[in-house]
Amino acid sequence: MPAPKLPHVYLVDDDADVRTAVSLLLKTEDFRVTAFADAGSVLAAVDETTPGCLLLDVRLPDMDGLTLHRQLKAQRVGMPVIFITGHGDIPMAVRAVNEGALDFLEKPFHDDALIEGVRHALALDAEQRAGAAEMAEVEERLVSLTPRERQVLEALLDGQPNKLIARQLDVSVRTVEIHRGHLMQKMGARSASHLARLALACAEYRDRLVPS
Amino acid sequence: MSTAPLPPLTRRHSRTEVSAPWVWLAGRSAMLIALYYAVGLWGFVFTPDAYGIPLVWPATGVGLAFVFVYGYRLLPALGIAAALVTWQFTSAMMPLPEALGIIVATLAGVALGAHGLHRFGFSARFERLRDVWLLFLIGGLAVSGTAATAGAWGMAASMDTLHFSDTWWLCWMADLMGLMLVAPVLLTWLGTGFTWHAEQSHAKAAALGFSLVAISGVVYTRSGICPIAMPLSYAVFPLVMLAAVRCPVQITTALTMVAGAIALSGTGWGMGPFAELGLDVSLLSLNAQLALLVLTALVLSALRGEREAAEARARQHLDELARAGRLSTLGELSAGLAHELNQPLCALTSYAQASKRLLERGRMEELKDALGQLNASAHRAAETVRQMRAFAAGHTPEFSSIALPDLLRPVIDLLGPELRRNGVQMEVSLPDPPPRIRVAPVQIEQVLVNLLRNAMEATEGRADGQICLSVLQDGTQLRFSVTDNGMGIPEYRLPNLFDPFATWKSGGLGLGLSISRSLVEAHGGHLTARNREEGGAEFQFTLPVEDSHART
Repeated sequence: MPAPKLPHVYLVDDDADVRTAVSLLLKTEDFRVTAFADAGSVLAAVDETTPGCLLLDVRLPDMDGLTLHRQLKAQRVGMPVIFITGHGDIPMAVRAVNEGALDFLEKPFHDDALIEGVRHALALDAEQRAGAAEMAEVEERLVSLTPRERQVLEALLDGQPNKLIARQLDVSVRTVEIHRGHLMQKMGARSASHLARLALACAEYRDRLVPS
Repeated sequence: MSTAPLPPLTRRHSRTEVSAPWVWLAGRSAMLIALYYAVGLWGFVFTPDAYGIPLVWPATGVGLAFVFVYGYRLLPALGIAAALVTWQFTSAMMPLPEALGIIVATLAGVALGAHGLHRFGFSARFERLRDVWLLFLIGGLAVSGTAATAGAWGMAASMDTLHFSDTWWLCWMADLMGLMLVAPVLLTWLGTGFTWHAEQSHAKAAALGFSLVAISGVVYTRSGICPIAMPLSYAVFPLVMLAAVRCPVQITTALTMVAGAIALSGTGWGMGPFAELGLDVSLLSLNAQLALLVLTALVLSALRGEREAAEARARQHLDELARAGRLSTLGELSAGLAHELNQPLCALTSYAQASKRLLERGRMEELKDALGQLNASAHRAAETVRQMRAFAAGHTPEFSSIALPDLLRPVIDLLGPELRRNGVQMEVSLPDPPPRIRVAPVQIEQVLVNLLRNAMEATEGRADGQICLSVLQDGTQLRFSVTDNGMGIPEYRLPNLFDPFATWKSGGLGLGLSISRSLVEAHGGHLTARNREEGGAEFQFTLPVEDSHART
């Protein structure tokens, strides 16, 4: 895995003048900006570990911005996307937002709108990334549980009291309490509700906790 | 600094601004009197003893031309001139009341004639047939009619030998003949601006004048019988006809007058083929010949004027249609061009906003850079606007000499965004070194934009769309060729491909190719279309290289 990177704004526009100008504007607010002239080069440069956000022109020489967005998602690049367009193309804006774009700015845009948008996108990315890190840790901890501890965990998540769990597993209440103590420790949970919240971060248990 | 008020600019009376109005009037009056007196003097040469009246009388024509061109202000001068001439030549035989009557009638006839010419919109340029008929009709009825009535009345009263109707007839003939001989020259020289067209050479006019004087001189300076003198007297006709077709109308009228003056003078002094018939008969038949000569010259000039006007109208229509076509093309290209304009504007606003922030943070070096780039973006936007405006351009495109690459560059710039958007490759090949060409650039650019857009549309939907613009030099011809690898032209469409409104595309009027062909033909070229054996279509047109006149 590459070394942890600092979040960048990845700007994709076919016009060199626009690239330089928008980069300069973002740099005055101390954002780190990397600019690309076409879809191919940005696809080659980013992956799911890249932190930051994307500023995509809807019209690029090799493919349109919406297609690029789909391909990025297919590469599991989850950075928030802000589209920029010179055409005020409302149907396209609606479609882009429906497909998961964060925002849509019309050229020439207002600096505050751009900077607020980028700031929001970077914050969102950081939040998502922190969430993902937490999820990875929970998954890791889950793996360390013994099968018995898993059973107890699942029963707890179902909201069963110790006595009922002991009867179900055909062990003493005391044994359940010991398992419960171990798994709370392994998961790093401070209370039953904290344990439930940790489990919520994990896809495996989300369905169990959140009624569909 | 002092700011003196500028005098108002008036174009119409620029002549009067040069000197005070009374100086101008005095000058014109003196000219009129001198000329009137001179032709009067000349006219009395043609006075057979039997009649006592001149058989050629150009003086009234001089009066008509001056009063028509310079206005009724010249009437007092005309009165003085008429009085001088009447007093000089007829005081011995005519009582005062009759002489006064003749003067008043001359003034009335001229005033009436000038009024009639203005009233019916006569133009001294003789570019329409109606101008010729108007001069003959008004000259004959109003001017000569009045003058002849007064003259015949005066003569009949003073000389018993003459019958009123015979005298009237002679006076009228003399007056009208004189008028037709001098009035066109004076009207065209005094009343119209002198313009040489490109194809008219001064040398040609000089050669014509010389031949005419030589032939007239030979014919009318011999006394005695010469068998070929009479047929030779008609040799002035082709010369005058040639002048009417090739030279400005002023030259034509001047040549006619010179020919008439030589013929009349010679005959008056008893020389030339008409002389042996006796002064009265000879002058009348010569008058008839000269009337035909003047009529021929003026009618031909007018016909040429009408043809030129029709050609100018056709050209103006084509120019207007072409402009409409360009505006329509520009409309179709507008989405791409708006994008092209929006990019530098986006860069420009971004630089401006960044500059503001850099200024607030005191980062002056970066601010300087940003402002420089802002300026460059603004110029880029302005360049796009300039291109669009250049393509829309004026109603009457100018011909100019242009290097081939300079002709093609705006076309490629204009179509660039459209080509990129459609992912079409365009190849351009030019002769080396690129020649210069004399065209109305905006119109040939329009033809190329038309053909290239058609080619682009033909390749629509193909991933490997490719169009090619090549120019080959073939002697004195440049062969422009636009090829594509698209679907080609349906075979049944080829015969009437260039007809107006013959479109098979949706959303087009079908005027593009029709206008293109007309524009190429107006440049002396020819536009053709064919399907290529290897697929796709080819449009070809030729244009002459520099130094040939497409528009005559």
